[in-house]
Amino acid sequence: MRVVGTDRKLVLKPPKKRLLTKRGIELMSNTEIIFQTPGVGGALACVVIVALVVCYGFTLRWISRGREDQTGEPPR
Amino acid sequence: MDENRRNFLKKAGSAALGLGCGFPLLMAGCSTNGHSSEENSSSPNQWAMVIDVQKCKEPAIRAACIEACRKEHNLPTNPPPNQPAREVKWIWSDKFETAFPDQAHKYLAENPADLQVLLLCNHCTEPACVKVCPTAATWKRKSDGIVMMDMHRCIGCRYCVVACPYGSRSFNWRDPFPDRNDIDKQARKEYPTRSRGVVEKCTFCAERIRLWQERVDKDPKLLESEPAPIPACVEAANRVAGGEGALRFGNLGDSQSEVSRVLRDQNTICRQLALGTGPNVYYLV
Amino acid sequence: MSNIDPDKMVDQLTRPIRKTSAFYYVVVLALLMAVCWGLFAWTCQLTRGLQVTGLNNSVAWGVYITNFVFFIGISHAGTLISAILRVSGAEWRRPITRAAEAITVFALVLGASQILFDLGRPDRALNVILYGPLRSPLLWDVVCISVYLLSSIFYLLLPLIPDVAILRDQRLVLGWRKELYRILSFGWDGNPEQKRRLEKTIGIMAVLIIPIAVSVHTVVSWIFGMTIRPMWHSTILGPYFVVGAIFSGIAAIIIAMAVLRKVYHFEGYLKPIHFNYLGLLLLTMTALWFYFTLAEYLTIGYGALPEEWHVFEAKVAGEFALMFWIMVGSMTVAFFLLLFCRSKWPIGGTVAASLFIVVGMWIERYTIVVPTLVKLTGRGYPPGMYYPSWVEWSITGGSIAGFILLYVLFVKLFPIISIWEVEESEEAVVEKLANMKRYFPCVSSAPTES
Repeated sequence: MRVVGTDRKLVLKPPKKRLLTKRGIELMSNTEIIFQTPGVGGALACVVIVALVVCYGFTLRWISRGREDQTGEPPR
Repeated sequence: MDENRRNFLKKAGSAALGLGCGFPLLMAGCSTNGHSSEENSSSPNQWAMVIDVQKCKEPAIRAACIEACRKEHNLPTNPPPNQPAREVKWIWSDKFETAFPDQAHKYLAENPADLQVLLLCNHCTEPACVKVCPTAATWKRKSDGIVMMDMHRCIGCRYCVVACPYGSRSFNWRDPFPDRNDIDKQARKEYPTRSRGVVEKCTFCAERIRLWQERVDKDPKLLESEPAPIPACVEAANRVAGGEGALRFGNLGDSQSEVSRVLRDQNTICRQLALGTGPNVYYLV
Repeated sequence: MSNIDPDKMVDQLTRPIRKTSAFYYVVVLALLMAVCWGLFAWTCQLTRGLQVTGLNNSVAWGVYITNFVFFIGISHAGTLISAILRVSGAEWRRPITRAAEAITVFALVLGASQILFDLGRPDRALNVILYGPLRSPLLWDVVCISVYLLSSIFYLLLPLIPDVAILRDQRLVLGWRKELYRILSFGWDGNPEQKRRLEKTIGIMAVLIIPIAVSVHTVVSWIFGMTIRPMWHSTILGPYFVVGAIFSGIAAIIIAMAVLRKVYHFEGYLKPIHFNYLGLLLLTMTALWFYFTLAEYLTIGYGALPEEWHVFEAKVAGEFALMFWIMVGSMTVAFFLLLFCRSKWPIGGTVAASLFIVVGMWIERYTIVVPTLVKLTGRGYPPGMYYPSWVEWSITGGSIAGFILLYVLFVKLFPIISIWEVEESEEAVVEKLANMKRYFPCVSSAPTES
């Protein structure tokens, strides 16, 4: 089956199993084309999420390490 | 459109975001308006179409265009009954007054209710659909100004369907080929099929444009006999008796192209100009 | 508070965790069934595609997007009650913060999943992260909502630490829950330094979470506002959505409080005065909502640009008039209930008003999303109509049930009234009085407590 791409950057990619009916997967096979570029917005979302998780994690650790004598030993 | 204003808005927007967040990534995000770095070399090319409304009054011409597009791009042949609003259409025909609500005043020479016009994606200069797409599955191709669609990246959020003022985008509400045999018997193997749950639209026959480009690249002499690629609808209209020149296709960046000449010589109108999207399909009334 | 001694208080507030009545199981079972029905409807949609909905190319967004906006709106309950009241030093917030913060987290989870229901290819949802360009308002939503979700989970966890430590130390429960409490108490032993650090973090988060919450609902409104569609492309939409969100959020928390009070006999903690104060806030928001609605509709109707007029007319006197006026009617009833019945009949009055408001706000979201799409002109085909299908209603019902179910399970795991914050109220009174003395020129000593 010949696939006429629509742009120079089109790359042929084997289809993956998807949340489709069997027939849908059959129909899609051999014609799945994915355009490959990274997304700036998506990258930003990832960076922000990871930064927040790290930041909140460290804050929780900081709270749990709180001791009156400031020795920094974990409690209990 | 007012180029200065657009450029100013873009620059001011990037600057504000960049300052606000202090994030170089943001600047990158605003300046790369498209997919890849290769496409950044902006070119003056813009494929455009001129539709002669008078010639297209002939129903056979309109039907031929629509049918040719269906065949060329494997559009589902059987729109679900009772669900006209779920039809997948790239080029279609409807009343003048629904397509040009701002032009259809009641003293128009011709009753606008009777006048049918061919409608398709306007391949806008500032496409509303491209702005909103969350995956860049639809984008403005900088090399030739076509609003492209990658049906294999689309997540089916339908934001573009909602945002497009011209109704040019259709969602695949059901399997495009519900019958497995259809695709073997009827489908044109040269064009990729798509799945249910994605949006599609007219691409000005981007596949034909590419084949033409390859031919011309190999043999530049061909430009004389074949100065521009011929989309399926244009080809179909030309084949119908009296349909020659009903649809004309060419490059606006080339002042010698057929569309540039027609636009210079005759008065044309566009759909919903006031929205500022800069449509590139022109109508000779 | 003086009528409940501290030991008894811990006992009372942890009772929902220790004792489970038959009624609880019935409720959980019923909710589970509703959720399963919703999941079944979703399976139908996944196998047959979005053709099972009532949507079409003309009206491409419907109930799912309405639910999305609605749930995100409800999620503002926690932020407002907890953060704003904390920042402004309103001490009466103490028994209600937890209940509010939990609403935030669960409403956000359900709200975000509505987008998944709406996608034609949910299996490709990750493409947004992989390829998302920053220019799409949906990307702004992804960023803002994930920041909000993470922050509100953190903001829910922080004040939970001392309470979870109480549960851990009392060894009330065994098994996996004991392990859960051990982890979530983050080695809390209640020493002053830990307490100082916790209070400091909560204080910072309370300030931070307010702009985050405002950004979330503004950005949700910008999904519509950034398009050039009539009655969406409006500068008022951002603040209008934020006001609507806080509005429905307070209504949701009032309903939740009333149910908790009734079921778990928290009469000593959630007193009529709490409902009265929240009702007063709600009354303010009702007035604001009317103001915004009037400003929006009068401007559109008076200007009467053809494109906008079609939508305006459909809402006020056309296909959507019934819904529109039900919405306005509910808000009016709520307004007068709050105005006249709040002080005399604080619980019944505010709860009744809240029910009207929650329903009214869902309808408001619907009449923002759908009529614009139905009445669009210039698209080159006749306008279409939209009637939600059973699948859409089932998924909506399932989502609401799922939201309640998560909340009910949360009540079973953690004290829904913050024990340590209520325990501290004695100190808060002293502090407050000492503070008040500084306000006035002629008060020399603290008035005696009676």
